[in-house]
Amino acid sequence: MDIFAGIATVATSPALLFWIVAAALIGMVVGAIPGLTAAAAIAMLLPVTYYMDPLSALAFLYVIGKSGRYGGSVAAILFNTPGTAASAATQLDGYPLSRQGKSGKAMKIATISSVIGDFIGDLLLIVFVGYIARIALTMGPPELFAVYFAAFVVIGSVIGQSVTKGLASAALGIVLATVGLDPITSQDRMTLGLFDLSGGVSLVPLMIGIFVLGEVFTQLESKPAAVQAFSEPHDQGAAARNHLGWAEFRRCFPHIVRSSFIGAFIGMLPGLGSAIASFVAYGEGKRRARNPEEWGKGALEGVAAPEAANNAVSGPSMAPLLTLGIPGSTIGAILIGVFLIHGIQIGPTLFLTSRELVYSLFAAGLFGIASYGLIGYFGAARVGHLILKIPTRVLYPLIFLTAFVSAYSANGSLFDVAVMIAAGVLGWLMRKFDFNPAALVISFVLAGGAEEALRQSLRLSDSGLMIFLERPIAAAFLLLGVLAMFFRARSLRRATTSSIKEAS
Amino acid sequence: MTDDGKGLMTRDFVSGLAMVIIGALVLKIAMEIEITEQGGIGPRVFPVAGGGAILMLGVIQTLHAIRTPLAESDLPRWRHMMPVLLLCALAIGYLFAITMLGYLIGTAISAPLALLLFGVRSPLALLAAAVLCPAIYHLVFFVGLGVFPPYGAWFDLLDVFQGY
Repeated sequence: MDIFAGIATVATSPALLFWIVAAALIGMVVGAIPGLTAAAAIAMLLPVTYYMDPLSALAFLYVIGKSGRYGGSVAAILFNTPGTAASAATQLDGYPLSRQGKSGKAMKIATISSVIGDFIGDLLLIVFVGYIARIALTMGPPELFAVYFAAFVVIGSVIGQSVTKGLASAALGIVLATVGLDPITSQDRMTLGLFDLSGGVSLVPLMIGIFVLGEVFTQLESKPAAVQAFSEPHDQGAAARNHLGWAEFRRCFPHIVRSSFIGAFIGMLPGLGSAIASFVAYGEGKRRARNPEEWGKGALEGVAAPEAANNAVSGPSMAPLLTLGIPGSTIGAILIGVFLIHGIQIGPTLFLTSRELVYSLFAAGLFGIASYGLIGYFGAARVGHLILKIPTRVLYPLIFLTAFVSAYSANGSLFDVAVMIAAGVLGWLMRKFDFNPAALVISFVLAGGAEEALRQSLRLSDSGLMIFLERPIAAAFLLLGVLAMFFRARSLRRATTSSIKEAS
Repeated sequence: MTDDGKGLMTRDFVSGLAMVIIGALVLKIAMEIEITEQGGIGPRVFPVAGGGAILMLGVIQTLHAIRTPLAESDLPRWRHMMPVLLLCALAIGYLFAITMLGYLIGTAISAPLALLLFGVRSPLALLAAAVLCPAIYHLVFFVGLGVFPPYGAWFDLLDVFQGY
């Protein structure tokens, strides 16, 4: 019932609706620009939201994240360049469809699949998040620490191509989070004697540095070629070719539903994210398809499956974030920052203290899906043309300048700008040497809660660290983390061995 | 450097070494934190655990890189990184310029330089960036959003505009 109250709140607030529609448009454009991610846009726009009420701020950034996931498909289908990592699977069949003069049809099925996937993900979130929060409320500090531990290990080992580098990235995030005054003893630690570091490393400049400035450095180095669209013939048959018939949609529908559930399941697991969901859905769709030989050559189902999964991740990824304070993605990590900036403590008690806000945010998500769905269905081609007109050699310098003023605006501190520059260089080097900047940021956000849970657990314990093994849920999560790391390392080792054998 | 490729500096090897150095540094700094809590877990434990993990993972990474040598070095070339290093220098210079000369002059200098680095050569575009970028950012952030602007320590154009 709470969701209906949330829908009423959103529907009766014109200002909020304006922010939702603006976010849908911004997210779509940003997602469609190759190299720019929704996470970067959110990090950059975060300081702007300081001046909004909490619901508008959260809704604005949440919808940018949703729309950005969809926006990647525009570039994948029209320009043969995935706007986001998640839309790389869409490109496999999307661009061949464009080359057949069916870009309009491909965009329509991508839009419909994204909307259905996102709606299914959000509905699952709305229905089940309350139950998860109730379970989370029964967890004590040992269980919470075990969940944090599992999240660190899963995020560190699953994202990226190297378990050691991923885990080291997560560990570096933990170390950075410990800089400043100790929350219990107020003791200075890891500050190197710098007064400015007593307050710790701020989340906003760290994120802007890693996701925005780091990306600007990467773009300057790689000097990407100008985005070019395949010039589609505008003959008399164009309208007929691009008409999406009911029979075609019905063929895609089972793929959309199955992929939505795949995406929703993967979304709940921290660290996996849209890219993995879309490729798993594509693989599963092709395996079950009646026409697997057509996949990769322009099958509509090959666009529908990854797009539905990609967007279905969005809603469920909020479940661990809102109930346990564990972000499943970089966008989630940024949203934690927004909650904290507005003085809202996330975790299981959020559903007791700010229930109305949470359900209004979910409602805003539903409105956001409808907004980007309408914009995309009727205006994807226009967005594509807009992207073609934006010269990257002007865009990235402007992003560079915006990063500075955004980092400064967070706290009105030039020290934060210095932190942002250092984080930008760190983010660039991490990408260059195959480390995992996302794991660093997510661990940075998680570390405070994990340390608090660990210290509380040991105060409760009569048997030291054994408390984690004496409590079955805690032991299960610790085991889950260790097993995830073990299996990931084993699968990577097998992949490396087979590629060495193939090469030799 | 040998013919079979062993001993080559690879990205994995350099990454491993960097992890070892960073881990050791973190450990050294963390061990200086006093343990003040009695009977519990002190403020030192998390930094030590983080530093120790990085060090240990660095050793594993380095050993792995030594055991699996590549046929040729995959380290990035300096000349490819040069534009980025220049942009890093510009970023530091921009921060210094804001600190000393304020936001408007700092941005008026840095905006055309950033465009130049990205390949914009038109003098008109560079001039427009020098004028429009500081003006627009100032109006949006410092006037529109009400953020308190960073004033220059030596000189600030805002002082002139505001008649101080």
